Amino acid sequence: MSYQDDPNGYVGSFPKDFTYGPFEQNGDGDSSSLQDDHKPRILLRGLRRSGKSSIQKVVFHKMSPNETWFLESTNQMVKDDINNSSLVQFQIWDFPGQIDFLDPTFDSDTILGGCGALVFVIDAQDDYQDALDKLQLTVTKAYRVNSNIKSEVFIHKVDGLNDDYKMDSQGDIHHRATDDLAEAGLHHVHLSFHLTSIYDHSIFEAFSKVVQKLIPQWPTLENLLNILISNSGIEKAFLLDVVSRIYIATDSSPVDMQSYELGCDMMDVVMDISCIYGMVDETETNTFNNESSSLIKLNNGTVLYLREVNKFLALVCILREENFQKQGVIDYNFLCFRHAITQVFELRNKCQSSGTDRRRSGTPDAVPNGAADSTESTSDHSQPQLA
Amino acid sequence: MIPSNTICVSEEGPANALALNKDATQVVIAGRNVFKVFSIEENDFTEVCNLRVGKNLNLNFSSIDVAWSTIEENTLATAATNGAVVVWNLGRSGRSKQEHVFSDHKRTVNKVSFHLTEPALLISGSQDGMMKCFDLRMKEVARTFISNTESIRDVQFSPHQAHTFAAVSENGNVQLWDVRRHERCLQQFTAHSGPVFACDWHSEMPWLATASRDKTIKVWDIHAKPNLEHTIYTIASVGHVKWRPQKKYQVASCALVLDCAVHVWDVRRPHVPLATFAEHRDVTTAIAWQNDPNTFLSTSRDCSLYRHRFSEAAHPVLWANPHGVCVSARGDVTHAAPDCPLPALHTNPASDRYVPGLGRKQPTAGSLRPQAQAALERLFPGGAASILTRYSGEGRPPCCVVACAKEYKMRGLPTHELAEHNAKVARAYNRHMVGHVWEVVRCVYGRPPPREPPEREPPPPPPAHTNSNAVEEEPLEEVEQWAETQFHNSGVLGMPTLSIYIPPHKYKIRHDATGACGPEGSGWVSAASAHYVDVETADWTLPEEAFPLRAPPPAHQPSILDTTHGRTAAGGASPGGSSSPGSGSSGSNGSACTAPPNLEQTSSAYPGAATPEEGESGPLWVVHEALRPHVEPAPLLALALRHHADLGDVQTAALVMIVLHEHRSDLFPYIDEGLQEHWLLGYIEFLQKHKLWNVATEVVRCAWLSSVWSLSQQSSSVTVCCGRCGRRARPRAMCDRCLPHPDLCAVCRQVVRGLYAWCQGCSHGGHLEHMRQWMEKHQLCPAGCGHHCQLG
Repeated sequence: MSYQDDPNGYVGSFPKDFTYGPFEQNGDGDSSSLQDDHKPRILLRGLRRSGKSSIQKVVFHKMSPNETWFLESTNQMVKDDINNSSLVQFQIWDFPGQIDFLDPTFDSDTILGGCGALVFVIDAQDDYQDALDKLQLTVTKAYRVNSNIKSEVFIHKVDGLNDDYKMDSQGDIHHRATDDLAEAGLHHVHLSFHLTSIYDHSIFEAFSKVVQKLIPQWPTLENLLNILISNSGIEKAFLLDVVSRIYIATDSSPVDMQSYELGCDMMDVVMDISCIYGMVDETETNTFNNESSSLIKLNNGTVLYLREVNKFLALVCILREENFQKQGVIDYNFLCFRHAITQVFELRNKCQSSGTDRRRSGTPDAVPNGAADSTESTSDHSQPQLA
Repeated sequence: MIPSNTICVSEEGPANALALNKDATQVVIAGRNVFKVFSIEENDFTEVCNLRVGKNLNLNFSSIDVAWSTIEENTLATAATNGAVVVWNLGRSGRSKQEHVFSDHKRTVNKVSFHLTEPALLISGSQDGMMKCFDLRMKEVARTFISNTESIRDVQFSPHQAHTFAAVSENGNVQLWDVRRHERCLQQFTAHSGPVFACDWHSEMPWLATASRDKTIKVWDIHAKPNLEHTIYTIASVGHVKWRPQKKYQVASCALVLDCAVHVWDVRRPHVPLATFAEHRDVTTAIAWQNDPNTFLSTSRDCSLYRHRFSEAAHPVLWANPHGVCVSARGDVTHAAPDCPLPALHTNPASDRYVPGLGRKQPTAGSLRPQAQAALERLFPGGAASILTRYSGEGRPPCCVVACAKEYKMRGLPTHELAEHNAKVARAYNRHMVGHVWEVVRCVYGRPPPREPPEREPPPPPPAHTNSNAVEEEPLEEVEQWAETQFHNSGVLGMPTLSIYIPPHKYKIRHDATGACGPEGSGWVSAASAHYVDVETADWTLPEEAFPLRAPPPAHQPSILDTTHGRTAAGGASPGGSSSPGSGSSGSNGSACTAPPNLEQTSSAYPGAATPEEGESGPLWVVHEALRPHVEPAPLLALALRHHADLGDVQTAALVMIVLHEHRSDLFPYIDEGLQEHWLLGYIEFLQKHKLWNVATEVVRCAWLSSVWSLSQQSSSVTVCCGRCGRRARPRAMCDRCLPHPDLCAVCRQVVRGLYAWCQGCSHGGHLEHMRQWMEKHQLCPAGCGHHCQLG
């Protein structure tokens, strides 16, 4: 059973009105449309030269970090659709640093209204006082327009700092930013801070966390992964977005940077090899399909196991070689897992098609959790197999 | 494997956590497939009870964490991946001991812990960032604490204040909460740059140890404002941390990945573990001390449960090599070593194991730190005394350069006086070559440039060496020493140049080669340092305008002056002399200061250049003063400076340029701006490296290049403070708080309309006229702030 049998599938991945920019739609006011709700926006803000476009290019366009040296500074807003996956549908709006939210010509209601997360990038190698001032203005403004917006602060370019200074500036930025907000009367607005650099995987991890908060089904996915790994003897499992390699979900055990890097690298290997050798016929350009899987055994007794979940998601598992003896059980558990994820998506699609009003009122949170209960039972079938 | 260690291997699967009862006589281990209670015997564990029984083994039986009540003998609590917190009662009759299931968390619960004095209170920390305090009597959630962070990884009640608990979360924050107040936390601070995985309160001190993915364990003093006391650097993400009971400074930790061993650290010695227990073959998942500092239990992913005794520990410090070597910025090498050899290693069978924590590089000073020294002393009373040896590097000792840098003057006097002073300084430090350059500068620029062109041409030398246009500049102590070799390497830079010789064919060339010091002749081209010039090919390229030719160069007799007359007769009048290119190989030895001894050797390496008839000519001759050649000094000086810079002596190059002041532009055609900037910045960097900030600032101030003098403005920022409340205001805006209040005159206390004058030091001010009057009579600020105000 796979999603491809499903006539109503989300496989098409592109919404029907893909050609419409949401911006024009918002122009006609009130009917801030359903499509925007499908695709929460992530706004990238920050002072000029703080690295917003670099982040976007590195994370979502696979640009090598060194090439970002040559990026021109952004002069107008760049909208980037990341709606390649049924779960990960959002837009990245990369603002030029000099745009002022307080400018009356800036249509903040439209832009901030449908916005899911505001990512504010601070250049840690620079003097960040101005950035903090701007952060305070931006968050205040954003909160006034849209109180559900999630504010994330990327303390960026930390690769050039030593550990002590990193800690100091993180603490300082945290302290001052929170104080600034408290002064502005926004005690309850919560800022999340991430230390990021495009030269390692920290930017991917930070973006993963931002994106995860925008996925209402995220806790469900995490629970599903928990069940999967505990029943299959897996140490760590990542649900990776195929294109960007950010992780949509992982199990609840602590994320170790090395394992995530391993997962990303494996994803790269699989994509590259399947691009070279995976072409079955000329018409099919996407070589990543539901037959895709990969197995890499490392010389320290660890096995990396990758399976395709759907067109845009892959599951990367890290497990010990001795736990990989019964691959059949793991494969069976994986099929249960994939089935469960399919159910989550179906439910979500039903919710979306059954009307926008209910979506807004927060019901989708409840429903997928119900789905999780049902998937738990499916996964539980696998337990006897292991024992 | 040490036989006396108590081990127990559970077949069911690895345990994620373990907990001891109040008396430390029983231990419970909990994992996905295992949940058992063992009693701890002298030499082994005996299974008391298996709690994972029953028909319906659901996810509630798969635990992430387990806690044993510190008061109730029979009460246990576990946390499950599905968010359930299960309370168990060992005293229940029947097989199932499950007492109650709290399914309030929707996501994985990472940690449960009991209140230390209140038996009914249980707190849990969950993946969704919430902590819930359960009341076991009411069997319901008493309070919910929303941390507003990411996943909570650990919660621990404080042993010092009964109502306080600490919570650590994945975004690196530590929060302190009062269990009675759920609205907001008491304190919050960022402890680590990565997720924090565990924390532990010290039993006596108000200390909290936190363990993080950033591979550090940090010890915080939570007494008032959280203050970082100690940091321990490990080789892998730290998963758990536990203070060793009754030992103030010792803490045990285990890694999350990579490192299977349990380490006990002395927080004052953060780099090498005090003791290591490497029995586990897979990553350790939990540790617990057995109420006494000498035994603890640990579980691991290899399904084993160990009881470790401290007497069986491996001590990495014993087989660490107690030698430290460090190279300083000045090229010195420091070596610290124990005075007498260490005692032989204990014949510990574990001692040859791999020791994690040793290979990690740490930014430490090269010598033994006092703490490390103290620890070493404690361990080796016999071999405590260390030797701290300091070796000087092979290269030139930079101390004289630094000393010169301190004493050189670069402004405030005319060029020649500065040069004279600097020459003295250089000579005082035995830097004769440098001193010589300064002398030249003094000579060249010591008097106003000659107004009238010389009446006669400098004599073109005859083809033979006897016809040297030799100019003696100044006698030195070394002159006699060098006299016999003067023609072997005449004109070595910085050495007393005893004769200058211009071959006639070159002499002609100089008329057409204007300005540029182009390479001419094979000897010149081969000179790598641009100053190694053969006598034969010594080439003076002079600008035409400085060299008005009136007559064809007449044949001229060698005009040589005795050295003793040189100073009086020629004085400073031989501009090109000392800085002229010459033979010799000082360029190759790479060290300006050590040139004299090298010259002695190298002079013999060029015997071919000697002319026999000049070899014995001790006395030198110079034409009388009217005949002094008006060679243009600029290109030669430029060459000299380049030469010094090539030798690594950027100090001379930069300083001469600075001291030249108005003459500096003479050199510009020969030294491009990039090179000038390079010199200046290089010298500034050198000064800063040696902490000569004042001198460096002086250099920046004297610099003539905009890119250099703008350095002084680079790192200075101006912030605006509100004059009334002292609070920093936003740029171009009034202070938020004081905005409604107008500025008052400090003298008359009236609102100022019109001109407002204020002191920029203390920002008090008032009516211009009042302030002026006040300042005529008083020194201090009229507002009474005690500032010595200056207006205007």
